[in-house]
Amino acid sequence: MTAVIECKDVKRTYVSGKIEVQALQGVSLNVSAGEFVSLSGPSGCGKTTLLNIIGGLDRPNGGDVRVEDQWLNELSNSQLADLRMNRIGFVFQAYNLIPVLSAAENVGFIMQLQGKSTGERRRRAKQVLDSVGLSGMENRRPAELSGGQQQRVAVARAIASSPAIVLADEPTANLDSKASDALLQLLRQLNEEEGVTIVIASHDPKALEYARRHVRLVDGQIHSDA
Amino acid sequence: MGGLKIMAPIAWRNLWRRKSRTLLTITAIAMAVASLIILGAFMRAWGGSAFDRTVEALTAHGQIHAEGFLDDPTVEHAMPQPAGVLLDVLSGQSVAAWTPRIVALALIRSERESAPIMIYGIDPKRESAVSFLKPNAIDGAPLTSATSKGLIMGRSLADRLQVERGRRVVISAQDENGDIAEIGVRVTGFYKGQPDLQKYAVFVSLKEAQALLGLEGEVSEIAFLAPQRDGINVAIEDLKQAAPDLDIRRWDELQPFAKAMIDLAEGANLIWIFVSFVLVAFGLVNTLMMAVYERMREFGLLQALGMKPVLLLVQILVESVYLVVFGALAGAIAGAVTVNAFSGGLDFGHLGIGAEMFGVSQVLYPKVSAAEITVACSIVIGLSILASLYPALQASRRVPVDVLTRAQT
Repeated sequence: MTAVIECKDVKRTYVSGKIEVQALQGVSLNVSAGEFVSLSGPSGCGKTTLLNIIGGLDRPNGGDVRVEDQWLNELSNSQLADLRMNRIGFVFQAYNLIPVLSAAENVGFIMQLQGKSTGERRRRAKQVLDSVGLSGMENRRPAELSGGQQQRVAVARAIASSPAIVLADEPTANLDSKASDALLQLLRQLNEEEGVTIVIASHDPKALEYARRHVRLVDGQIHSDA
Repeated sequence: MGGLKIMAPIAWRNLWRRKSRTLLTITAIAMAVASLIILGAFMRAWGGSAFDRTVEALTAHGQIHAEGFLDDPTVEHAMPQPAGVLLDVLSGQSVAAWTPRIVALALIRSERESAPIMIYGIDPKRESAVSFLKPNAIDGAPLTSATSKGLIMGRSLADRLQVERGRRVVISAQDENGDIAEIGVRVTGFYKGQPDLQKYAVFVSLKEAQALLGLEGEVSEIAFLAPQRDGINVAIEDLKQAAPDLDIRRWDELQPFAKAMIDLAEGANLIWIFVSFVLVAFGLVNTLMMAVYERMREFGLLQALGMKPVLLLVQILVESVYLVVFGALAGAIAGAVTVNAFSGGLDFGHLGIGAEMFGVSQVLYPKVSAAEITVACSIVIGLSILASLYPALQASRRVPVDVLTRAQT
């Protein structure tokens, strides 16, 4: 199958004061369309860094990443923003909802950036919120939702604009067991029924059970890929 | 426009996430605008009063003299009474009123004292249209025509000479032949106000002064008013064309100190505008910086979701626009209401002597127009938005991952 994500010898070094931290030390990885891949490994192994670079939130010091047919090093910040808006959905550990927007508005926000009409946004937001089990909560603001509900809104936002890829960074870290199961089930359903490529970075063994391919990172390098 | 449509409602809601901070910022902006309007109105009233006082204290909008008179105000520098083209211009549309005067240095003596004076021979009817010497400014009998008998002086000079109304005084001056000429005149009245003039200026009829100095058919000075203050230059130009051999000057050339005072008032207004803006700008930048840094993570998120940096800039600028527009509107209303409350006159009686020393009246009448309010608001709104660009640019230039994922790796 065609690789929808291609990482070629990706390196990322952070400098903190006088200390240099090599977060990624030459990672090469191909992810095909429709795969459900987990990234695991100990804290500081570079999971989030790799996810950020794939999503165009960060730039590597060496190597390059291709998402669909675009090499990210060739894109400007504005073009990266376009790529994220149109092709990539993000789910963050800390939910990261916009506090002044309701659940439906948060879900419809990316579509609003895409220039979709109000009616279309409302319909799609309701549909997606229904699918994540949040019927009737469209008008609630993040502060009025539980952690699990907020994370489901975040997932709904990530999938509402029908992205080709969903990148999820520790999506279950702040959820209880029941909410984690529901969320992971939702991601698998999305992957199986809509063919969305999912890359999930997590410590959570349960999260790893849902993925079909497991990539383990240690010290910024791929330790295993199965 | 699309970006504005997306960001405007979000910016509005963001504004009310910290109500007290938003209200404090709006209050600071409102106070700056209100102070600009109020102080501006008072400074303009001060400047206007100083101008009016200068004009009515015999200076008028301008004066015509024979060449050399202002350096040596003697009878040798008299000029013929206006006639021909000059009279046509004085009677035309560029001049609203004019009056001829005899002006000469003289000595006045009463039974008890003597004092150096400036004697003015005037045509009372014309004079009342140009200067403060209107009938209601006189205690006693005013001069009624260019041939009237009698003398009007200030109360200060009368006190010095120890004369009362009805008493005779003797005026001595050098006539056109260089001889000392004298006339005895009865004091018929005292003029009010004009503390400076009161010490030395006395008024007799034009005829009486001409007869004393042997200047039949001649005058020392013509004072004139233009129809409006902004028409003074037109009047001056017309008069200069009509009488190229005469010395024709504007009021501010004749009274440079008064001009300096008016300029000072206007300069103080500009300084206050600058100070107000600096205060508002720092307050606004501080508020926006706090708001921006507090929400840096949120801005990272917005960029992660695909919002372009320029839209972030728009969002923060829109929030600034909301703040400054509301602040400016509140300030405009407060300023206009305050100025309006004093439009009937604000009495500076307790500062009276000091105020009059600077050539302004004791009562100021502040006024403000819609145009002045618009200018004050525009200055604050424009400069404040400019000041808010800094935090907006700061936010839009941050790399999303720096603020979004620092705690997540």
